[in-house]
Amino acid sequence: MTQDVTILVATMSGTAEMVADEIASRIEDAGGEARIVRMEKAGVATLSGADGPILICSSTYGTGDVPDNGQALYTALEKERPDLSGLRYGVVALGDSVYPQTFCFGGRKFDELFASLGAARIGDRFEHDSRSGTYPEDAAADWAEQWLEQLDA
Amino acid sequence: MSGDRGVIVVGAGQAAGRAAKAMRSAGYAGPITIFGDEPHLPYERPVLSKSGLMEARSAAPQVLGDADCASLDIAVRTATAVTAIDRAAHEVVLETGERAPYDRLLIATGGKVRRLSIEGVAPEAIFYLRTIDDAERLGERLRDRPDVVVVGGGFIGLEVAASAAKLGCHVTVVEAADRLLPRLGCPDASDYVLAHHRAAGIDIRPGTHVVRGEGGNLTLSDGAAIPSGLIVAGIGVAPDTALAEAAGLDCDDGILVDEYGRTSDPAIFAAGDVTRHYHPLLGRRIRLESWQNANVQAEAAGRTIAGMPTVAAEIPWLWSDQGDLNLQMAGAPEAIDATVIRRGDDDAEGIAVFQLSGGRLVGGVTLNRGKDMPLIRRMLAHGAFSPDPAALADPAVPLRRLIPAREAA
Repeated sequence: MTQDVTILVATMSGTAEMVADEIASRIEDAGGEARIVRMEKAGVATLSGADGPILICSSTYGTGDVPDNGQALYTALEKERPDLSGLRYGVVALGDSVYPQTFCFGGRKFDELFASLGAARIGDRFEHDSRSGTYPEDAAADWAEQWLEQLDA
Repeated sequence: MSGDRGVIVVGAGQAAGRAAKAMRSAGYAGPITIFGDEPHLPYERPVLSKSGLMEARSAAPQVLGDADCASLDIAVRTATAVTAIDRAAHEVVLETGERAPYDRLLIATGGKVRRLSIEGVAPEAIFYLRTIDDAERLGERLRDRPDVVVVGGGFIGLEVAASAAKLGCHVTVVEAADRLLPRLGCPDASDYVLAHHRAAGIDIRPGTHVVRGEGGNLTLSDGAAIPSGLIVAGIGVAPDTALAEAAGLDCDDGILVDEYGRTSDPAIFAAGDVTRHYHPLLGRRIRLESWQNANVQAEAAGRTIAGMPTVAAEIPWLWSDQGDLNLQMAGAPEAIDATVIRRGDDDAEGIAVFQLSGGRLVGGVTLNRGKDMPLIRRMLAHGAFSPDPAALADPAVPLRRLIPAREAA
């Protein structure tokens, strides 16, 4: 396992950041490298210049928007539309089915945007419902192990 | 349920909407009618003090929209106050004089803001924040950038103060207690909050109160006179128990309910801010004003009404977004005998506070360190969890690794 993963975090209450921490620990346990970048500290260049795969880890605002700290990056990507072909990415989307109409929209919106810019999603998008009875940090880290295998395949 | 008379919900806030949805998802097929004072369908209030003030047209998340009401066959009568509950007849009386019958009644009337009176200031010159309409009125004024005085340095007061400061207002917060947010149970946390807001340019005056107003100024108890183009009071909320008390239901600073939301009348339930409910994890009654409680307790009551008895039992948790400060707290500790603080390498990484009693974790607070809160909540849900204080204090130790087994959520 030699992947060098950049985890981009968009978070409201901090859960997505905590989940990213846990995924990073799992990646490192598996012999890979992981770097967590909160989205307000990322720009278009973070993506167009990325060497390794990107993992988007985003929660969802109640009205269905991407979290505040991810707004600037989302808008910049939409406006500048960089060519992301060659970029491989995965998506961890956190949501609460108490908002059924906008469930996991934060992660879904980034997924759609990345795909429209030519990036290639590896594996299925992981979606977690905070009412599922499982902890997102456990479920997402388990998912990430499979995702890493797919990256290596 | 025997019912062809159906369920009536009094109050049309978040708890009312969630409870009605829960009744339907639990299979209740009879009539559901919600009566609310406000001219709006049920919505969530937390954004009102943030985007609700900062933006001219901001949307609060709806709990029950028009589409939900249609698809779930839930009737909401907005701007229709209930004036009495006739328990003997199983009817509510509306302000129009009309009577509406029920088999089961849910009271979700929420809270009423405590009113402030200041000598020399007309009562209508004091603003409050509880409803969408309050937020629209207040936001419009704030966007003219007056000198703002916020009376009360609690959650709502500090949220409003931070939004006003971001809009460019000069803001003074007058707080009677010697420190901000004593309910955090941690002077270090209170100091952090104070320092954060002062750094954001907010003038905070702990240990003072307003004595009187005169010619556009407010005089404080320490003799200071501060310009007050706009006065906002955030001095707490009282449970709106008037209907319940008049109907003879047991109340004590909130309508008394059990863990299912049942009041002292078997046909009447209550949920949300208005209740003082028995909390099985805490082993005592508690009144909680929070988004979480308005969901969890309302859903338990809704399901119980629908014939699927459900207990509300989640570790209490709430948050307060105050400008660039995200505060979260969990647990409801009655006694704390040790406090452990985890700090990152710099101030931007915030602090987490772990509150212990007899070695057991009983509560936690995070300030701009929300990533630790889900794990604090997980530790609290674990029940008898006695973490190693040195590990808690060390930010290099992942909190997840301190949690023993892989238990269910």
